Amino acid sequence: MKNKYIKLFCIAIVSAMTLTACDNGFEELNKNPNALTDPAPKSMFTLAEIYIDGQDYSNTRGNNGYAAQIVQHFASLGGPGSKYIYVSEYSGSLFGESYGKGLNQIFQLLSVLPDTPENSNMIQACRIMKVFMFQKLTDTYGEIPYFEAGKGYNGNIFAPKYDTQQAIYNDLLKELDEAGSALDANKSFVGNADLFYQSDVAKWKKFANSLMLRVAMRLSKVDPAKSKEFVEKAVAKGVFNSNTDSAVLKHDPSPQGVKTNPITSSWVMNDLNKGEANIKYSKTFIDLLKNTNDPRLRIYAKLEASGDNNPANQQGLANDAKEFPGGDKKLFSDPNTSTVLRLDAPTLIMSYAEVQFLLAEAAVKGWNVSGTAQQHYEDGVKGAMQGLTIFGDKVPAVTTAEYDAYIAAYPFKTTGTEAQKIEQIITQKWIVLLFNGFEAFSEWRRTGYPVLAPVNDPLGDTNGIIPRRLIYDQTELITNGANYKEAIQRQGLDLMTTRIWWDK
Amino acid sequence: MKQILAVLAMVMLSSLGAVAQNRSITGVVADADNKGIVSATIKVKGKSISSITDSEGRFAMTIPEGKVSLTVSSIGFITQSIEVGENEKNINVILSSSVEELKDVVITSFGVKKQKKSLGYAVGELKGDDLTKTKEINLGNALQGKIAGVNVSAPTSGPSGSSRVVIRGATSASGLNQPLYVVDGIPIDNSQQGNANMWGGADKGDGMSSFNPDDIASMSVLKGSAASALYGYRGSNGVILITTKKGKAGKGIGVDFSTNSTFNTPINLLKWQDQYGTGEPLNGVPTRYNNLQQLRDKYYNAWGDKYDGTPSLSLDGKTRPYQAYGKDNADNFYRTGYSFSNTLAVSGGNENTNFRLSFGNTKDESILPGTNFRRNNVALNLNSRVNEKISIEANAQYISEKSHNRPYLNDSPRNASYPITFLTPATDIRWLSNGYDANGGEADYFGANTYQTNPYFATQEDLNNDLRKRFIGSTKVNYNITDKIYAKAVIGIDDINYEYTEIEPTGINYLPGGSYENRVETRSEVNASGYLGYKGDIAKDLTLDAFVGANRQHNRFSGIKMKGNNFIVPFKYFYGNTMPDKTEKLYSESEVNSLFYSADLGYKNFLYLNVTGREDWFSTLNPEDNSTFYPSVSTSFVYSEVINFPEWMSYGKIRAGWGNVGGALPDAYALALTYTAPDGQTDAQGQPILGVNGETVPNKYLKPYNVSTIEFGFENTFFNNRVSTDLTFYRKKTTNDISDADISQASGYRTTKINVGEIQNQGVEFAVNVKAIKTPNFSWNVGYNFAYNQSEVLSLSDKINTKTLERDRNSNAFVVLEKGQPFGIIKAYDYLRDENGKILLSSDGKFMRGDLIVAGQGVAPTSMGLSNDFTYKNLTLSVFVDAKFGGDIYSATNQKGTEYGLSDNTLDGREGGIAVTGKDPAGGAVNEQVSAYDYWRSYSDITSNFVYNADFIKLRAVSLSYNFPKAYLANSPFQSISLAFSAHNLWTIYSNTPNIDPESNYSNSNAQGLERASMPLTRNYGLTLNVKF
Repeated sequence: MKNKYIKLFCIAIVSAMTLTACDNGFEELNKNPNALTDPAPKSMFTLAEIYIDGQDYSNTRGNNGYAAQIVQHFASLGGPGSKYIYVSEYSGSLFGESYGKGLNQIFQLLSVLPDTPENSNMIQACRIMKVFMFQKLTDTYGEIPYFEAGKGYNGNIFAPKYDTQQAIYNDLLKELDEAGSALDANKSFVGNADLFYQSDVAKWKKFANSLMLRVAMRLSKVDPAKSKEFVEKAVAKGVFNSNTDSAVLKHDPSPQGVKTNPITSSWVMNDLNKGEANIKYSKTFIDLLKNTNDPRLRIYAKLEASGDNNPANQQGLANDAKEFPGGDKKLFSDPNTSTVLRLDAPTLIMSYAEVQFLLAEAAVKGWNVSGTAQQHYEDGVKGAMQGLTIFGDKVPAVTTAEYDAYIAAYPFKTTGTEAQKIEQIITQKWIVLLFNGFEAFSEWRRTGYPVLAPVNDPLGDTNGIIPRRLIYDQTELITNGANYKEAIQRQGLDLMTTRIWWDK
Repeated sequence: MKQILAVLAMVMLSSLGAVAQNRSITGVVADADNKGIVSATIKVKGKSISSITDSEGRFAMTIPEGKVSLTVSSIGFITQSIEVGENEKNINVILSSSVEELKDVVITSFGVKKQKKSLGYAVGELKGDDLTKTKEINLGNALQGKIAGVNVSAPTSGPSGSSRVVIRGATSASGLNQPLYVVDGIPIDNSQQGNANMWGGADKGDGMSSFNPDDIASMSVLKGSAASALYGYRGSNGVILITTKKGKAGKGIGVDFSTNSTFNTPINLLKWQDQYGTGEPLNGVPTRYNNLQQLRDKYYNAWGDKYDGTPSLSLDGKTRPYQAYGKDNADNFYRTGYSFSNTLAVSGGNENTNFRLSFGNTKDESILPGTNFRRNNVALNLNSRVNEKISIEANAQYISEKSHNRPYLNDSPRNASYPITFLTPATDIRWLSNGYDANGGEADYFGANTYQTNPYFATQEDLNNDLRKRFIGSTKVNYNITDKIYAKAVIGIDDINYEYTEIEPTGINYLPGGSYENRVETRSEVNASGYLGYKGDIAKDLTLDAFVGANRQHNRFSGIKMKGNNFIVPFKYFYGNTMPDKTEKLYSESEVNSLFYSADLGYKNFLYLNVTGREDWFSTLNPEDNSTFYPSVSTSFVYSEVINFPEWMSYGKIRAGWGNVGGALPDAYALALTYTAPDGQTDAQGQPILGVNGETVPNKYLKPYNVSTIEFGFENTFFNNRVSTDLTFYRKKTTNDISDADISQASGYRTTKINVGEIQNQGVEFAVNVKAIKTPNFSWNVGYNFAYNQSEVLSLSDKINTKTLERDRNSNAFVVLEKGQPFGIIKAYDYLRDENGKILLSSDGKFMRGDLIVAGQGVAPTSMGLSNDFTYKNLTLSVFVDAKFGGDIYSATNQKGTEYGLSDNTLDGREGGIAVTGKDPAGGAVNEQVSAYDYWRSYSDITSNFVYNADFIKLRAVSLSYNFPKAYLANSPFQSISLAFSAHNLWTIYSNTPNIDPESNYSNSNAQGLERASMPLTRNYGLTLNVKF
C-alpha cells in the first residue's frame, strides 16, 4: 500500500518534469495590464507638439536660468546666465530633455507610422517639428548627434556620432523643403489632435516655410549665399501672413506636468515665493520698454508682491547686481502673473512678428522677399503688440492708437546704415522673443544685437565674456566619450566662450 | 505544480491510517547540551529495522515485542547501545561527542541540517547571542565584521534605515547585490523602499528592519555558488538563512523577558575654522555684510572679514560682536537619541508539541529631533508531531513598523543636516530656532537659496510617515514514508502592506504651495514546494541523503501613487486638499517555477560528495527562451580520519565546491516598448496624450545573469580543538551580467539592459578561534576573521566601457564601473596638466580642472573583525574591533568646506595670498600672488583632492554582562537573570577622513563612496536585562 503512494508521488514528480509545461500561462501573466503595447499615433502626435518647446526641466534651467539671462531679458543675483557661471545640470538640461522627450517621441512615432498616404501629413508635421527641435539644440551647443540620434530603440545606437553643424543645417533645410512641399490638404490629418492648427494643412505649410526662413537666416554670417537662397525660397513658398498664422501652443491651468506652460510653471510654483521671485526682469529689458513708453510693458510686467503693473513703477534688476539695490526684492518687476506668467499662458512657438522681422532684415540686405524693410518692420511691431491678446484680457490690450504713437515716436530708420537698421529690427525681435531665450540668444550671437553690457563677476567662468554657447551635458563624457571628444576637437574646447560654426 | 502538492497532501493524509505492526516506541536523541541530534540512526541489533531522527532529534519506530537492544549512532558522536525494556515506550538517549568541536550541525539550503564536516563549501554562522550582545535594530547591521567575507555598510540614516550586506563582492552592475534572506525556510522580501540619490531623499529602509533580533536563534550565511545553488536564480549574492527560536519541551511554561535601553549620542567630527566670518570678497577685499539679504544669501560662505569682536550683523538680524559662535552647532542641534526595546517570550510543550510565542516592541528616537521609529513584533512557532510518521511545523510573524520623518540625506531640500554642516561658524544654529515666519511658513534665513530648508522647520514639520504591516507565515509538513524515505510540503508567504506619505508643507520656501504624495502598496510572495527524499545507507560504508522537489514562486505587487500640489486650505495636509497632479497605478505579477534535486553521498566518515541541480522557468522572460539550469558539485575530505597526525593536530579537512547560480530577474513587462500617459496626465487641451513609457531601451532577450564560483577550503583544529582555523579561497565570475548602462541621451533613452557584462571577484577568507585560556573560573576566547576580495569589471558591453552608478550632486565626482577596474571606482577631476603631468595654472594663477581620473574605489577590499571574550565566573567582557582597508570616499562636505572657506586649510593665505609659480596652457610663465579665495576655490574644483582613503579601525562594541549565580536564584521564581552593559562605536582607533566619518555613505545602492552633509554617526550606550522564569 505504501509503495503505491510512493509510486504515485514519483509519477507526479516525473510527469511534472517532463509532461506538464513548467511555464503554463506565463505569456498571459507577463502582459502589462497598465500600459499600452500598441501606440495610438494621434495621441502621440499631440504629445509631440507639447514636447517640442521643451518641458519644465530645460525651460527652468536652460531657458530662464541661462539663455534668457544671458540676453538680459531677465536677471538674478546668482543666476548662472546673469553671471556666466557654469552649472552643469543647467547647462546640459536642454540636451537630455530634447533627445529624451520631444525628439524620442517624434522618432518613435515616425517608426510606427506606416508610410501611407493617410499618414503622410502627420509624417511631414513630425519632420517639421524635428527640425524645430534640432535647430534649437545645435544652436545652443554647436555640433550634436543628428544623423545617428534617436536610434536607441530602433537601431540600438547607444553612442551616436556628433555631426558638424554645417551638415546638420543642410539637412534641416532639406527636410523643411521636402516636408513643406509634401504636405497635402487633400490628404487626411489628425483633426483636433493637432493643437497648433487643428489640422489646417495650409497653415502647417506656412509654418514649415517660416521655420525655413528662421533656419536660413541663421546662416547669414557664415554662408550668406546659402542663407539668401533659402530665405528667398521660403518666402516664395509662403510664410506667415498674420497673427492667426503664428504657431501657438495653448496650455491647461493644472498645477504641474506636461499640460501647463513649461516656461512659467516652475517660476510660479517654486520661484515666485510669497510674491518674490529670485529671477527678475533685467534692467536692460525694463529700461528699454520704459524709455520708449512701450505699451507692452503693462502686459509683461508687474510688481508681484503688490500687484502693481503701472509701467512707471516697474524696475529691472541689473544683470551684474550682487544685491538688490535698496535691499527690497519686492520693488523689482516680475513677469505678470495675470498674463504671461499664468500656468496656462500659451507658448509662442513661432510668431508672425518674428517672421516679419526676418523679412525686414532680408529686405535690408537687398534680398528678394517683396515688400520694404520698413513695411515688414512696422507689420512686425504691430503684430507683436496685437499678438499679446493671446495672453488674455486681464490687462487692457495694446490699442491701434498706442501702436501708432509708438511707431511715430520710434519710426524705422529708413535713412540709417544697414547696421543701424538691423539693430533696430533685431532689438524689436528681442522683445517679441521674450520667454524664448534660446532664440534670442542665437540671434544675439548672429547679429550682436541688442548690444549687451557684459557682466564680469568673480564667480563667472568666462572672464567677463558673454557666452557664445552652452556646455554639453556632462554625461556625454562618460556615455559617449569618443564621439564627444571628436566633436570637441573639430569645434574647440567645451567652453561657454567657444564659438560655434555659424557664429565664426 | 499544483498537482504535485495535491498528490503530496493526499499521500500524507492517507498514511495517517497506516497501522503499526509489533509495538512502537518514540524518543529523542540529544547531545550533551540536550540539543536534539539530527539524522542520528537508531538500529535494532541483528535486524534490518532502523530509524532516523528528525531535525529536533526525535524518532519513532516499530520494534519487535519483548526486550530489544538498539544501537544509536551519528556522525561525530560515539555510538551507543541501549536496552529497551518490554514495556518502555519512550526512550531518551544522550550521545557524547567523538570530537568535541565537530558536533556542529549547520543549516544549509532549504533548511536542511548537515554535518559541518560533510560540506564542500563555506558556511558562516552566527548565533542569536552574538546578535543581541549589542542591540542592532536592523538585523543586517548586526552582521558587521562578524563573518569573513560578509561586508556590511549602512547609510548614515539611523536605526530604521537600511543596511547593505554584500557577500564576497558585488556580482552585478545593475542588481542589488544583496543576499537572499530566507526565514525558517521562506524567502522573504528585502526590497529597498527607496534610497537617497544625487537629488537627496530619504533612506526609506529595507525588509530586514522588520525582524526582532531577540527572536532569532541563528543565522547561516551561504557564501558561494556551491552553497546557494539550490536557490537557482536567486543565489548569486549568497543566501542568509535565518532560524527563529523554537519552543522546547520542558517543565511547565517558560517565560523569557528581555529589555534594553540604549542612548545614542552624535559623534560630531566637523571642525570648521573660527577665524573668518560670513562673506565673499568684493574686488578682492573681504567683506562684512550690513545688509541682511546679502548676509543671508551667503550664509555658507566663510570668506569674510577676520573676526574682531566689533558689533556686526548676524543672520537673525541682531547685532552681536563679530566672532565665531557656531563651533558646536551640531552638538546644539542634534539631541541624544534613545531606543527602548522589550521582548517577552513564552514557550513550552511536551514531547509531541511545543511552542514559542513572543511579543517585541522597539521604540527609537533619533538624534535628529522629531524623527522616530516604532516596531511591534509578534512571533509564534508551533511544532507538533502528529504521530510517528508525521510532524508539522508552523511559523507566523506579524510585524508593524512605523516611521516618522525619516531623515533626508545628501542634497539640501528638507535635509536638516545640510545647514548644520555648511552654516559658517559666525552663526549659532540656535538663533534660527524659530523656524517659522509670521504666516506660519518657513522662516527665511538662507536668502536666495530657497532649496535650503531651515533645520528647525524641517524637524518640526510633518515631512514623511510610513507604516508597514507585514505577515510572514509558513507551514511545513514532514511525512516519513519509511525510515529512509520522507516527503515534505512547505508553503510560505510574505505579505507586506505599506503606506508612505511625503509632504512638502505649506510655506516651505522652495515650494510655498506645498505638495502631498501618498503611496499605498501591497507586495506579496508565496512559495509552495514539495520534496521527496531518501536518507540512509545504500551500501556498506556508503550513505545517501538525497531529495527531489519542486517550487512555485508567485510575486504580486500592486500600488497606487497619488500626488497633489498647492494645498487649497493651507496647513491642512491631505490629498483631497490639493490640486491633484497625478495618480499612478503600479502593478506587476510574476511567477517562477522550479524543479530541483540534491544528492549527498558519504563514504565512511571522511569522504563526501554533494551534487545539486535546479531548473527555473520565468514568466517575465521571452517565451522562446525562458528557463535556465543551475548545477553545483562539492566535495569534502576529512583527511585526519585517514592519516595519523601527531597529537597536536586534532582535525583536518579539505573541501572544494563549484556552483552556478543566477541573479537579477528581469522585471515583468519589460520585453517590449510600451506607451503610457506622461506623468499620469491623460489629456491636454481636451485631447488625449500618449508617450513612450520609460527611459530604458527594452530588450526582449534579457535573462538573469549568471555567477559561477569555485572555492577551496581548509579546516583544521589543533591542540585538542583549542585552536580552530578555516581558510577559503574562491573565485567567482559573473557572466551575462545585465548591463543597464547609461547610454548617450542622444539615443532617446538613458539606459539599456543587455546581458553582456562580466565581473570577477576573487579572494581569501580566513577565520581563527583560539580558546586561549580555559580554566573553571576564567576563560579567554579570541576570534578573528579576515577577508580580502579583489573585484574586477571584466567587461560591460562591446559598446560601453563605462557605466555611472551615481554622481555627486554637483557632478564633481562619479561612482562608475569601468572595464579593467574594481567594482565601483570613484572618478573625480584632476588638475589640468601638461603632457609631462606637470600641473598647469591659469594665467592669473588659479588651478584648472583637467581630466576625470580614477581617484579611489568605493568598497573596501579588505575587512576584518577581532573579538575577545573574557569570562570570569559569571562575568563576561566582550570586546569587538573591526576594520576595513583599501576603500575610499568622496567627501562633498570637505569639497564644499574648502570652496566655502570653512575648512581649516583655507586659513592659509588669507592675509596676503599665496605665491604660485608655474606655466599656463599656452606655455607662458605664471608668477602670481593669488588670494586665498581664488586659490582655495580653484583648488576645490580639483575634486580628486577630496577623495579620501576610508580605512578605519574601530572599537565597534564592548559589552560587559553578568549572569546572576544560580545559587542566588534558588529560592526565587527566576531561573536566570543576566544584566549586560554595552557600548557601540566607542572609539575610532584609526581613520583618515577629516570632518567626516569614513563610513558616511549616503546611499545603500551599488554606488558606494559618496558623502555630503551627512548626519553624524552615533555612539551608543545600552543596558540589557534578561530574565527567565
